[in-house]
Amino acid sequence: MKVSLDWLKEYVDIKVSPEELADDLTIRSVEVNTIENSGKGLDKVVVAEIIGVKKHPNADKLNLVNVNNGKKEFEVVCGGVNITDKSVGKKIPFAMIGAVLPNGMEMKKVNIRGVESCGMICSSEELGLPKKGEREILFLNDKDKKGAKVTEILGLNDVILDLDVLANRADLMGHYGVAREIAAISKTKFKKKSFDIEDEPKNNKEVKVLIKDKKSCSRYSALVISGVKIGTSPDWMKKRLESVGIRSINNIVDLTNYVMLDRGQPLHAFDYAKVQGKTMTVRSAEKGERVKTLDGKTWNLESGMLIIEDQNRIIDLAGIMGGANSEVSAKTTTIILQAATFDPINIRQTSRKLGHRTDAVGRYEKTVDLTQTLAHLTYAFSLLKEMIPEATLEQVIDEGVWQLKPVNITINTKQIENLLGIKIPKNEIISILESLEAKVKKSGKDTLIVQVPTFRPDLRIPEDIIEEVSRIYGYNKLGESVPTGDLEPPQAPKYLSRIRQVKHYLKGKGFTEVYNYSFTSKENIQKAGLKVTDHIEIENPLASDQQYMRTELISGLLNNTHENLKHNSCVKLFELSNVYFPKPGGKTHEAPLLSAVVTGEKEDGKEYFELKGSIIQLFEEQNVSYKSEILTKEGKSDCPYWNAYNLKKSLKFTHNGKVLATLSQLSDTVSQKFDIDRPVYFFVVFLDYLASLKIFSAIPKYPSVMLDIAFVIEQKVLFEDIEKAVWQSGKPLLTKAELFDIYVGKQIGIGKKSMALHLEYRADDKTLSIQEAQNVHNKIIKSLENKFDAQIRAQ
Amino acid sequence: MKKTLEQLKQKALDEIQKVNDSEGLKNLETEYLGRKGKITKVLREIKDISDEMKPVIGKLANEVKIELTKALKTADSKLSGKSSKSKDFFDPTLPGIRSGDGHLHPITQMLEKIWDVFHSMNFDIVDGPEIENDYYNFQALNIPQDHPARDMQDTFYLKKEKNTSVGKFGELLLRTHTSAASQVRTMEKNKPPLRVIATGKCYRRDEDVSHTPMFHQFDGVAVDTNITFSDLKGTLHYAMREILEEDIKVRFRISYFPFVEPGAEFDVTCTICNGKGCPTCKNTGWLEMGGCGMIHPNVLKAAKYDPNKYQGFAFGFGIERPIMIKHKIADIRTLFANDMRFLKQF
Repeated sequence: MKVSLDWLKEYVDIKVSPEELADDLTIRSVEVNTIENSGKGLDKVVVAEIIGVKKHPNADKLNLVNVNNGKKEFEVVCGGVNITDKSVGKKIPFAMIGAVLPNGMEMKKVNIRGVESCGMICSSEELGLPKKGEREILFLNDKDKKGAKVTEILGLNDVILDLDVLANRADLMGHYGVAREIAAISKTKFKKKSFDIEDEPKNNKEVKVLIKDKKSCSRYSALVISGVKIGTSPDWMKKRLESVGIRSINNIVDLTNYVMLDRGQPLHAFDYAKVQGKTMTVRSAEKGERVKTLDGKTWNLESGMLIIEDQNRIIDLAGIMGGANSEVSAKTTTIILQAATFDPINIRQTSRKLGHRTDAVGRYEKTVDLTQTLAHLTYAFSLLKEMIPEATLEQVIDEGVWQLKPVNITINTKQIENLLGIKIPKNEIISILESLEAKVKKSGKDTLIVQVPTFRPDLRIPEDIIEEVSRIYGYNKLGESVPTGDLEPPQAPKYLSRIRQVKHYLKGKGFTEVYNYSFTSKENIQKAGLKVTDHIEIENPLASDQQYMRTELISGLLNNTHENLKHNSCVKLFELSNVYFPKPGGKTHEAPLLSAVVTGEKEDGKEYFELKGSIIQLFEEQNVSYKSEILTKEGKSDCPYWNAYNLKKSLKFTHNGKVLATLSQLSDTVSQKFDIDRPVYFFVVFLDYLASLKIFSAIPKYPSVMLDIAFVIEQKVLFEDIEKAVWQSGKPLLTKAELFDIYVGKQIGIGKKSMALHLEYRADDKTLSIQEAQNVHNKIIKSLENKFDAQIRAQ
Repeated sequence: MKKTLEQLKQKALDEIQKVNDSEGLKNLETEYLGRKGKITKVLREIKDISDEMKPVIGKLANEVKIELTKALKTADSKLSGKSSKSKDFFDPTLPGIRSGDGHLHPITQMLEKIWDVFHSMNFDIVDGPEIENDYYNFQALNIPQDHPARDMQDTFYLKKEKNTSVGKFGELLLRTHTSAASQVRTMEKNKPPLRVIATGKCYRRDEDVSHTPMFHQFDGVAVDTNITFSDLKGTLHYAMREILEEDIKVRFRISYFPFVEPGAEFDVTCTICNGKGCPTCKNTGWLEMGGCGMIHPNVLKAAKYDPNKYQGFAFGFGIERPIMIKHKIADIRTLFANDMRFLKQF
C-alpha cells in the first residue's frame, strides 16, 4: 500500500528524513518496500519571469519566449495556448536543461523547427499536478521569487512509501492509522481528527436496508445524500489520490477512495435513483446467480457469496465491487454512501474463488473496525459538504446486530520479562501501550489490565501485548543470550549420518551429486516405461511437467545425463532423495532412495564393474553383509520397473533375503527414449533398509590362514556358481573368497579362462593349523574339479 | 655345507657383476634361485643335516638368498637405466593424475554445515514427511482454514481419489515448511525441555529467479521453562555467523507468522556490499533470511505442552538463500539445473 508523507503530515509531525522513517517503520511496524521521491528531478525547475514573447518564424502555433530565472536569460520555444505578448511579466515554472519531469522527459537543448530551445515552460500536468487545460501553461503567483524551486512553491516534494502491511494489521490500511503508528514509534503527538454531522436528516428520500445474512454482515451503515452534483474533485484531493496511484474519476468516486485510503474503511456510493423499490437486502447468493460489476465483468456466483439486491436485481458484489446497474453517473443527484463491515473470511473466499481482488477486499479480509462505520461516513460527509455545499443529508442508516465488548488483557510485567529476557521499566511499558491508544489500568504491584483499542482486533492474548511492547521498545535493544539448562544428550541423528556417509563415499568415488525436483511429468513416466497410475498426482501443479510425484530417481538422472553429455565426454551422477508412492485408501508412502548412473565408453562393461565395485565397497564401508545374485523377473513379472533393466547384465544385492540394491545396464529402449547414444549403467539402493541395518562383528580373536588357488575352467562358467561351490565346500572355516586375477589367452586354450582366488580360513575357537586349513582347501579344489572340470594350476 | 654356501654366493656375485644384459641376469637368477637352482638345492638339503646345525645353516642360506636377490635387482635396474636413457629424465611439471573427481551439491554442503552448527549447540536433528496433512502443516500451527496467512504460502494439494473422504487431519498436501516436522510432530513425541532442528524439502507454488516450486528449509525450536526472546537472538546470531562464515550483523524486525508471538523477521548484513547498499539487498544493506519468534501458546497447546509452564522459540529459514548469498548466485534455478559445469565448482 502506498502512503504519501504529505498526507501523513496532516495527522503527525515527521521530523526525521524519509529514509530514517522508512527504517524505523520497517523494524517496528510495517516493512517499507520502496521510498519514492515525487519531486526528484524537479530540482531544476525554477520560477522564471517572461520578459518577451514573439512568434516562431517557422510555426504558427509556437512562440519564442524569453525568460529570466533571476540569473540569466533564456530563449525557449513554447506551444502554450495561453502565452501571448500580454504574458510578459508573468511568472512561470521553467524547466532548465537537466531537469527530469515526472513523465520521464529529460530536458536537453533541442532544435524545434530551426530554433534552439534552452528548456521548457511547463503546464501543471507536466509537473505531475492535476491537468488544467489543453496545452495551458501554469502561471505562478506574481510574488514568487525568480530562481526559487517550484517543488517548494507548489509542494511537489512529496515522498511516497510503499508499505507491505502484515496480514494482522488492519489498522495500517489507511493514512490515519499509519500516522498513529508513526506517532507511537517516534513518541510524537497523534493529531486525531473527528467530525460531527450537525445537519438533521431531512428524510425525504429513504432506503430500507435488510440484512438477511447476519453472520456475514454485522453492521451496515449508510447515508442517503441528495443535492449531489457530479463534477471534478478539488485539486488537493486529486493530487493526493494521484500521488498514491489512484486515478481521479469524479468527485463522488474520488471521495469514496479518499476516505478508504485515509481511514481504511472501504466506502461505496450507489445511485439512489437506480435502486429499485428503494430496498436493499444483504444476503448470500444462490448458486447460478450472476452480477455485473463496475468494471464491466459478469460473475457467476456460488452459494454463500455475499450480495446486495434491490427489489428486483442484484446491485452489488458485497465487499468486493459495486454493480454496474447501480453505478454513479453524470446524471446522479442522490447517492447512498455505504460503509459496511463484512465477514473477512467470506469476502476472502469469494475474492479467491472469483479471482477478483480489489482494494476493498484487501481491507475487508483484514477486518475493519466495526465501531467506526458511522464515524467514517461523517468524515466523508464533511468532505462532501466542502466540495458540494448543496449536499443534503436525507437519511442515516445503521443496521446490524453487533455488540461492543471491550477487550481487556491482564498481563504481569514479570511475564513480559520472562519471555523477552530483559526488564523493561513498568512506566515505559505503560507509555508504549498508551501511545498505541490502549487504556492501561494498574492492578497490584506488577499487574496491568490493558484495554485494547477497537481498531486492533489482532490483540487478544498477553503474548500479543508483549509483542506490542517489545517491537515499539525495539527488538534490537533486547539482549543476546543462548539457551541454557539440562537437556537429554542429543540423539545422534543415525539416519542422517548414514546419508551423510553415503554421499561422501560416492563423492570420493568420483560421482557428482544432483538435486532434481520431486515432480515428474507424464512424458517422463512413460519414457521410463512406468505407469502414470502408479504415481501420486498433484491437484494444482504449477506446470504440466510437474504434475506427478516421482517414484524413482533414474529418469531424472537420465535427463541430467542427456544434458550433461553435451559438454562432457562421460557422466557419473548420483542423487539421494525421497520418492513417493500412492497407497490404497488415499494414503501415501515416501521412502529415501539412492541412485547413480554412469555412462560407458565402449560396450565392454568396464563401467559396470566399476559401478559394482562402488556398491560393494559401499556395503563394506557401511558394515552391511550382502549376497548378490543375477536378477530374474519373479513374482509380479509385469512390474513396469523391469523395463529399465537389461536383465542379462544385472544383479540384485540382498540382506536376509530382502533386496538392498539392484545394479544393471540400462535397457536400450529406455536409453533411446532419453536420447542417450551410449551404454548407461545404474544402481538403485533402498536406503531405508540399508540405514536400518547396523551390523558390527567383533574383531576375530584368532589369526587366519591365507591360501591361494589358481585354475583353468570353461569360460562360460559363471563366477557366481564357482563362488557358490567354493563357499559350499569351504564350510565352516572359509571366511573370505576373493577373485584377484582373471585371464583369457592362447596359452590357456580357446573357450577357457584362468582364475585365481585368495581364500581365507579361520576358526572362532582356536588358532588354525596350516594342515587344518589345507584339508578344507583340498575339499574346495576337489569340488571345483568335480563340478566344473577345473584344472588346478597352482595351490 | 656352510662353505659350499659361501662359495656359491661369491661365485654368483662375481657372475652378476660380469653380466651386461638382462637376459643374462634372468639366466643367473634361474641358475641360482630358480626351482632347481643351486641355492634352492642347498636349502632342500637342510632337512638332512643335524638338528644342531639346522638353524645356523638355515639362517645363512636365507641371508645368501636375500643378498643375491638384491644384487640381481640392483644389476637389473642399472642395466635398464643404460638401455633407456629417457628414464633419467623426469618431468615434475606434467599434469597430475586425477581420480575420484566427485562433488557434493551445494545444498548438501549447506545442510551439513547447518547440522554441524546446530548439533554443536545441542540441537537434535529430525525430519518429517514431505507429504503432510492440513492439520500438521497449518491448523496445529495456529493457521486455521481461510486464514490470510495461507496466502503467504501457496500450497500444492494432492489429487484425491474418487470416493475418498478427507480424514480428521484434513487434506493431503506437500508441506510448505519444515515447521510441521520440527514443531508439532516432534513436540508431540517428546517431552520438554527440547531443542531440535528439522531440515528438508518444502514446496510452494512459485517460480521465478528467487523461487522454485521445490526448495529446502531448516526450522528449529527450543522449549523449556525459561527460553527467552534474547535466547532466540543469541542463537540465530551465532548460527548465522557460523553458517555464512562471515562476521555479519543481524537485525530483528517486526513480522507476522501465526505460529509465533512475538514474531520477527531476521535479517543479516548484506555480504555482497557489506551493508553499504546494492541491488541484491535493494539498497537496504540487509538481506532477509527468515522468520522467527516465540512459539504461540496455541501451538504449545496443540503439542499438549502446558503454555503456562513452558515457553520457547521457533525459527525457519530457506537453505537456498544462504547458498546464493555465500556464492553470489543470482538465479535460484541454477541450483536445480544440475549442470556439471556448475556443480564441479563445489
